[in-house]
Amino acid sequence: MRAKKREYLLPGILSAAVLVPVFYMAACSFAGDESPGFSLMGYYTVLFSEPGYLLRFWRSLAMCGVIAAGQSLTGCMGGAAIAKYRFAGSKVLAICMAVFMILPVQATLLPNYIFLDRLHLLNSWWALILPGIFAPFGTVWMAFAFRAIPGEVSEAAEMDGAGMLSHVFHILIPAARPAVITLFVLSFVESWNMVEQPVTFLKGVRQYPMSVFLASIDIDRLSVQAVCGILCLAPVTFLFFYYQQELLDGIGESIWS
Amino acid sequence: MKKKKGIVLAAPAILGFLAFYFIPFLIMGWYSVSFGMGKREFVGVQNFTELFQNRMFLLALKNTLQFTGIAVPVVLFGALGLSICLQRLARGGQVMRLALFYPLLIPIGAAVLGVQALWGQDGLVNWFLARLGQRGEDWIHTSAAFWILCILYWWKFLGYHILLFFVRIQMIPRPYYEYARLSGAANGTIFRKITWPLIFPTFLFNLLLALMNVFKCYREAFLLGGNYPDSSVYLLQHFMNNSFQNLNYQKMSTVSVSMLAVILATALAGYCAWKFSASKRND
Repeated sequence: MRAKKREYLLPGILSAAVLVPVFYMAACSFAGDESPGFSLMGYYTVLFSEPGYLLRFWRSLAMCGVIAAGQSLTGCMGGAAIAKYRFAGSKVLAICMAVFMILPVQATLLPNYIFLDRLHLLNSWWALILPGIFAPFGTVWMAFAFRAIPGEVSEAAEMDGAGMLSHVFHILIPAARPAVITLFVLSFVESWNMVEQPVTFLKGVRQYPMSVFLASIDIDRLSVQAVCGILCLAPVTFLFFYYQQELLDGIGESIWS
Repeated sequence: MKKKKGIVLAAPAILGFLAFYFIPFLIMGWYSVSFGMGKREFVGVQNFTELFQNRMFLLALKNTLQFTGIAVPVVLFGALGLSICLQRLARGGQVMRLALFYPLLIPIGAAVLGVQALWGQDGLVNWFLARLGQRGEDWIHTSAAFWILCILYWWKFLGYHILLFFVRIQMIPRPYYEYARLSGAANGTIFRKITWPLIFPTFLFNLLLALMNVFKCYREAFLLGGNYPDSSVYLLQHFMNNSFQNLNYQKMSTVSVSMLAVILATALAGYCAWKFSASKRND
């Protein structure tokens, strides 16, 4: 079936249009602040003359890596338990988590705040990391993904004497690899872009991670803002290109069959 | 034996969920039915009746419902239509799907920069209007903000849903369609009788994610308009955030509990619909 030219039109235009803000930002990053024209001042300021920006960048990167890895791990374990080891109350647990997953961040901010206050973890990055790792999203996501893996695979593994851990880590996770990677990318992006939690749990701009900081930069320094925007975009863009194949077949393939 | 193992495996997820989400939420549940500083007294549904008479809350509720009602169907059916379009393309479909997914990753701060460039005081829209001899406006602070927010939502999540739909549609065996064509079925009939029933569970999963993302859109609204934006985009999340900042915990708890109740009811309805479709498919 050969596609007609006409059929390329709508998707083509749309996919070009959605990328316009990125090109705009890239263009802004080369703008001069005082005089119009090409300038590298923005890059110079952010990358060399003021170390505050880069330091914040690396620290945010480490934090989001920890959150994404932790969320993937708890998500895989919880998801496997719900999908493959139906224990008492596993269905209720799954529904409960799905409901909490939909609730807006605002609804869980106060519960989190109360608990973190008791643990004396407010005003430290643990207040961002711990709720992020245990967000119900990962478990729900992986439960859907693992459910699609045929039961015979697990039975065969059991016959071969695989224990629970090797069943999960050597059979299930490799079989649902695209979904696991997609979960990692999504939770990385989620924590990389978080705004509400740092604003609520942390005091003082000095502690803010990159995402909030980006929004609080002076609007007058357009080029610095744009360079920081590009800096923000760099890690997620890397993940995006590195794992593009997994993202393409990942979200769907293993989940629905 | 197998069941006990399952609990051990799920333990980290369960404990974290209980500690950071569920048990604290029970405390909120108590806040929502009690009143007073220090020693709280049980007041029944008083907080709820007060809440549902609050003008700001009703405005926020109306806006949130309106936003959900417009943004979600458009994104879901748009994504479904586009994934069917993309299926027919011989080349370039992958690149387009990736391009459409990319906005999901863009930090909100950067996205807001783009919005300023388009609809801001010195933005592109005003520039065009000026050339046409019309007076521009600061669109972000007018009732147009509602549509800007909708466009931001679509821009961000359209590709995400396309990704989910596309793979599922691709997995429908081709012979189904060939057979239907041979028997002379029209495109509409093919969609209704083959595609739609097969992707219905995927559709529900997408609906779940779309609703989740509606609530995430607060960041965009906040970065555009601050705590008190134009009244067309004053969402429930603004109301909650402002109550939180005023340390009005019980107002906030009451909203959260009401929200949970609504979501639970919707989830139940969705679950029944899913069961119903599953039983129909088995026939």
